[in-house]
Amino acid sequence: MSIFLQQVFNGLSIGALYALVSVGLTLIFGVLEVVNFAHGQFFMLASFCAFFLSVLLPRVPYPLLILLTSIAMGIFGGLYAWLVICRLIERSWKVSLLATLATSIIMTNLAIFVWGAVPRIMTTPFIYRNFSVAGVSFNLQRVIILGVALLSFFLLQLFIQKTKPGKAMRAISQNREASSVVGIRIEKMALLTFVVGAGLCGLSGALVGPVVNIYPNMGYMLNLKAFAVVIMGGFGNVKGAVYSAFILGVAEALAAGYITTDYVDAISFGLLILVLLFMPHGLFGKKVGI
Amino acid sequence: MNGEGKGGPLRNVRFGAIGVFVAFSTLLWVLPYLVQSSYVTHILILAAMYSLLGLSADLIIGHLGFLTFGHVAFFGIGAYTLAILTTSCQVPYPFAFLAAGLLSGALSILLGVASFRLSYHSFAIGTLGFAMIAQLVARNWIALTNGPMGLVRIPKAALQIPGLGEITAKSTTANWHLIFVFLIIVVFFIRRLLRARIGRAMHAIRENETLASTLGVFPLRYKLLTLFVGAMIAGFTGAYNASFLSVVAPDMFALEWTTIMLIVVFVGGEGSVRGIILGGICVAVVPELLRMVPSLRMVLYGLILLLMIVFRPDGIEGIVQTYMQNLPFSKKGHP
Amino acid sequence: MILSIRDLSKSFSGVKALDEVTLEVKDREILGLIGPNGSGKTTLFNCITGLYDPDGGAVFFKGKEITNYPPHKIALQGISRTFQIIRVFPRLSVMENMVLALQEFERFGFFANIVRTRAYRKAEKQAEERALALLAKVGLHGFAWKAAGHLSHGQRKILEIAISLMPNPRLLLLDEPMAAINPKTIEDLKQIIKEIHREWELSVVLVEHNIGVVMDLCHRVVVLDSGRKIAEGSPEDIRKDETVIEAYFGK
Repeated sequence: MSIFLQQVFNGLSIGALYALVSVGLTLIFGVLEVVNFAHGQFFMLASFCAFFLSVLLPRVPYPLLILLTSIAMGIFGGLYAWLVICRLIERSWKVSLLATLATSIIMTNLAIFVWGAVPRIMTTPFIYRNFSVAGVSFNLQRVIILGVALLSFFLLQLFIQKTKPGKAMRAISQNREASSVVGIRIEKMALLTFVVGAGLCGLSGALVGPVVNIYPNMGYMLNLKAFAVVIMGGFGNVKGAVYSAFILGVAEALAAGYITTDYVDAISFGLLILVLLFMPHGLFGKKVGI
Repeated sequence: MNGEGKGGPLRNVRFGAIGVFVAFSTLLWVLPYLVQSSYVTHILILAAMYSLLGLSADLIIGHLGFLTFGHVAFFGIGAYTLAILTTSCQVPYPFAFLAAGLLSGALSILLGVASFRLSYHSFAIGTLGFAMIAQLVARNWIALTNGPMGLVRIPKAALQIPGLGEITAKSTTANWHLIFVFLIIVVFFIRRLLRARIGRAMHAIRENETLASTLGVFPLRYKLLTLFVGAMIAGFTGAYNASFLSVVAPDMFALEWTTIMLIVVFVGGEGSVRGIILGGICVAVVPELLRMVPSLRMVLYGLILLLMIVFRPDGIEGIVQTYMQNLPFSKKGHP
Repeated sequence: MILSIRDLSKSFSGVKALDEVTLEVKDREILGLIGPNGSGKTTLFNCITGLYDPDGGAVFFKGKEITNYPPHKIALQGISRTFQIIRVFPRLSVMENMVLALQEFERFGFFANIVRTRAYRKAEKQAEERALALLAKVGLHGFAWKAAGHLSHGQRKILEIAISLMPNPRLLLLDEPMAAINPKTIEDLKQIIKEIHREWELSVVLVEHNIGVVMDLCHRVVVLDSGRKIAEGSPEDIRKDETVIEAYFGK
């Protein structure tokens, strides 16, 4: 039983990572109809950023590090949106798809060129601390990942539902033309959406970076899993993405624990294929708007 | 395709075009003899292969209107099929070659049936997933594909003619001639297809699938047909690549090849045969002029793709057309 | 009876767009379909032509049930339609738009397409000739080789009708053909519809808001309101019908 609970906990923390990344992805799609193929690379960049910050400013407390990384990535997301996405907003869906794919290639290979393929390892005060409850070992870093992730989703929901910019984002996701007619500045909102999406990647990069090896290609697999989650949750469905992310995380962890770790990736694929085949609108149905 | 005029004073231009074509082709055929360099011939072959990949993918991307990221899977499947059949099964080359194309085509039907009912975005992601699965299979099904090590000592193209014995394409020049002929055949074939009813239906689906269906066009039939033809051509190209290089490896399914394919299509100009061939030539030639580390080269590819998408979506073909419109007697001068 | 609709129902997110509508189209008649906005006229067209799957009821064409046929199969049965917002292929030439409407009725194999067999070429030539004849009839002959997007709005409306006539349909569904065009073009269109109805074995269902046109063209009229059929009869009867007046103007 304790193995089961252990894997569930591990799965939840993996799911938290998927959720943080996928929420940004699905938000960007929901509001702008852009599939950001470079989103996994945003996470990769965030991890490297967190790593270098931890090395350059060793005395900075970890929570501040997380904040700095998130802000840095938020700025990056805004810049990217300003330079690339805003030019493409009025054009066909093909264009933004290709542009973000090209961006992902540029980012990955630039990272390989600049930083090399040797993985970096980042430490935090929490990564080696564990505590046990009922035979289940809780790694403190993972607990923090889960906790911060849940808090962010809660804050994000508040932001989307209650604040003016959040409502503007919802309006655009439901009807872009009508939104611009009533005075919502689409380009500004595009920037904001990317800032939020990239910021979430920044958050997850700083939180999860220490738990995994940090290397340039780490975004590739994560991208595909994020896509799987977004499709399962329904394109543009933020809540759906969160649920699906945790489902996937737990499924992977249980498979890894009970079957084998080799084919864990195949599980995500398999799930993605099954959903595409039988429920192309996702597990939670089609939703209008975010 | 776009309201072109018919017959009349344009016939002179058309004969002129045929003349240019014949002259150019002859030049390309004998080029390896003139420029005694295996390196240059190698580049020619690469240009031809990139063009073939681009043309086959563009049938789906530019003419059917569906963005696919997994087309390179058929390239790899064709390559592996030929490799496995000629090495382990001792199948004669021509049959293995045919099988490579047909198997790619058959698998494309499977992919098409599963994914054409998805939204455009999911279709793109689904095809990417397909390519990834193919790569996973190539890497992990060691019994069949020898895993990451790939397969080696794949025989060169050979044909048994009763009475004359066996003709083999041993030299680089012979291989160039082989793919050059194949390219000409494919170009001719594709152009015929696009100007025929099938092509018209494809374009109608691209422009407005619902409208096309209310006119009697059954979208799924033409989607599968297009995918089949595109996959088959890619499969043949892969088979050729396998025998030319004598090796196959799982990296044939990798993102690098997909990027090259996308660049050829979009830098060349989607929807245009001539543009894509120009794109193929550029992608083959330009990196040779700028020697660089693989990762930096990929950065450059990505950057070129990005810049072309943002600033020049019509690609090279767009640039060529603008230039040609300023010539007298140009076809495009028509209203 | 060329078209028979029985108890057809269609809902969207709980809202009933069509509520057990039953009506018939007699052979060679021009039937007017009128009703206030949102009464379900276009929904009815979409159900007939396979763009929507009805939730209940059935549609019969020439005695055969076509209720759940996909759009392309409906077209092949001999039903053509036009749309409220004009649908043509703007980037293709007028000629290509026209021959597209005919090409699926006589299909050729892959081989024939590439090699251009004699039968294929003959079919193509006939399609082109038919297109040119039709275009001449509606006055668009000079535009055959222009891109459809270059035509004016009124010209495109006429083109849409010409396209719908290419496969020689038995039933023509026209969705607000007179909307948003000038009076001269309305007259032209009226003449065209009258002429083709007279010359060919054609039944027409006409959705229109322009009451003058309905009075002039239609043999019978059916009135829908909120998804239900509320009246049926000759144009004069309908004009005086109280329930109809109420539906349009309220009590």
